[in-house]
Amino acid sequence: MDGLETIPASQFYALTEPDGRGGVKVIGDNGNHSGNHYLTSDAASQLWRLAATYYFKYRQDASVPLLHLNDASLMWGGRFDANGNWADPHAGHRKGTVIDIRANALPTAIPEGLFTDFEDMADKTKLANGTSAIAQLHHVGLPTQHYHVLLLGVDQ
Amino acid sequence: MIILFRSIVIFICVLLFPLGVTFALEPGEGIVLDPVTGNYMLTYSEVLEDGSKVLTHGTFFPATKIAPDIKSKFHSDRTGAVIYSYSVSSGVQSRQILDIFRFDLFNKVVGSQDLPTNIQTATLEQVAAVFDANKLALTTPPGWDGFISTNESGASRITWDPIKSGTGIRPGESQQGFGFVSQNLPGVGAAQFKGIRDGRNGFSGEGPDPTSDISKQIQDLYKNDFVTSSAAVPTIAVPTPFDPAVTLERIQTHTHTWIGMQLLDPAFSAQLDRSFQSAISAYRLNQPKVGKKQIQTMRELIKKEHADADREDDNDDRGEQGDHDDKNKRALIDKLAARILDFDLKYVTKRMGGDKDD
Repeated sequence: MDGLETIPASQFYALTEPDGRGGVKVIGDNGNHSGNHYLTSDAASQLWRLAATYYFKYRQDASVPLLHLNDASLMWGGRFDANGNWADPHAGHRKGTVIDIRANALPTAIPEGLFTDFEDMADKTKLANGTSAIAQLHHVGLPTQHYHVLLLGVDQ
Repeated sequence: MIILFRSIVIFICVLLFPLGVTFALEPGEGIVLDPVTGNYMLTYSEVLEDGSKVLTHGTFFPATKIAPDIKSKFHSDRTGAVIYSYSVSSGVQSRQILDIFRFDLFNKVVGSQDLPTNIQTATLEQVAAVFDANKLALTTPPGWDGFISTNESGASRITWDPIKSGTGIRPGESQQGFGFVSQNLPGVGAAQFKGIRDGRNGFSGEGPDPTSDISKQIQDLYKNDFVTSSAAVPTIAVPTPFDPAVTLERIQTHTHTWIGMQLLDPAFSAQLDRSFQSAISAYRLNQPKVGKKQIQTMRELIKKEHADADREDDNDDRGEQGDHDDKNKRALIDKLAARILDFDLKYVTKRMGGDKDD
């Protein structure tokens, strides 16, 4: 689909992280596709607002990391082929309006104690279409646990 | 009562699932309310990595096990702005701590600011200034945090929640001290409330296929996971420069929505309409004395139903019985609606410089 743009860099969230070899890697990049961080401009704007709200609420607390952004959409949208075989059903992520945010046990994840706050934060931003973002926890209890955030209030 | 009503709605939806009347669910899928816990049992098809489908179960813990009540106060300041303040209580029948109180407004409140739109060039200082300004634009009780989010359509969502998680308004308790200032006149609107959920919502895997009907229904649970209660909410835009006829037209249009909400008797509305029309025509014909007299007629009609409707400090929005000689007769206008309408009409008179009779 047309109109997807790469998520702009911001001080409010992390798109990359150290790769353990002295370099950096794109979060969620498993080498199967060149780019997993594409969103519509409306969704990117909504993400930025959510991340800014989170940042300013917790910036005094050194134990709270920036939001670490995992899969959004591929460059052209469509089925999100996570494993390079076009079979893995990475639900949603097809139209550039949904993004995953790390929420597991890693130190770069949203701390569990802030889960409710994060969900409420997503709900605080009312969009022009009358809806708000929705943060849904996926892979509950697994090492891959993350927030699947419907930035425009729709899973698609 | 609200919890019960919501339960009934969901129950009706669930009843329709097997009939295939409204939704096209896959066999075995559904959302069922557990009447004991008040939680929703979700069953949905999930696609696994090998492409096979399995029925997966989950629980949705609603934030609606609360019975909130709200009292609204409103008065105008010297500039013509309206100062709104609220007291929120949680009924003894609530089963959760009330921890979110919010309004969706069609406009912005005085002092609120928009976040920068160019996210690539916005500085930390600019963003911080907006958050700070928005906090200051709200009156917030100690221990609570106020937050304003605006969007490009000019609307805003105002949310208050406790600073310390796990706290809020306990069943049987109340909290006052919420408020803001608006350039818009009050109408009857919805305050929204949420409680602290009994458990964490989430999916064991990827959740249902986003294109499925069960997914849409689950999204609706998330979107509608709040309880509402009627409150005085900025609703009627005051034209600039001030135009009494246009303002009255807008007030009249809003009162018509009350009939469907059973806040206003249709015959009483028709009675008010005659005065509305006369007043609007009078102001258009530059006959302010006639306009003022018609407004006074409406205010007297309201006063017959609720003698204290003109008390700006009154926060008792009950009184369905009104102030008739016959105490068993239901009032022709709801108490809160009466207070709001009286205020709005008085506002027009004031702006026209003719409040001396009050």
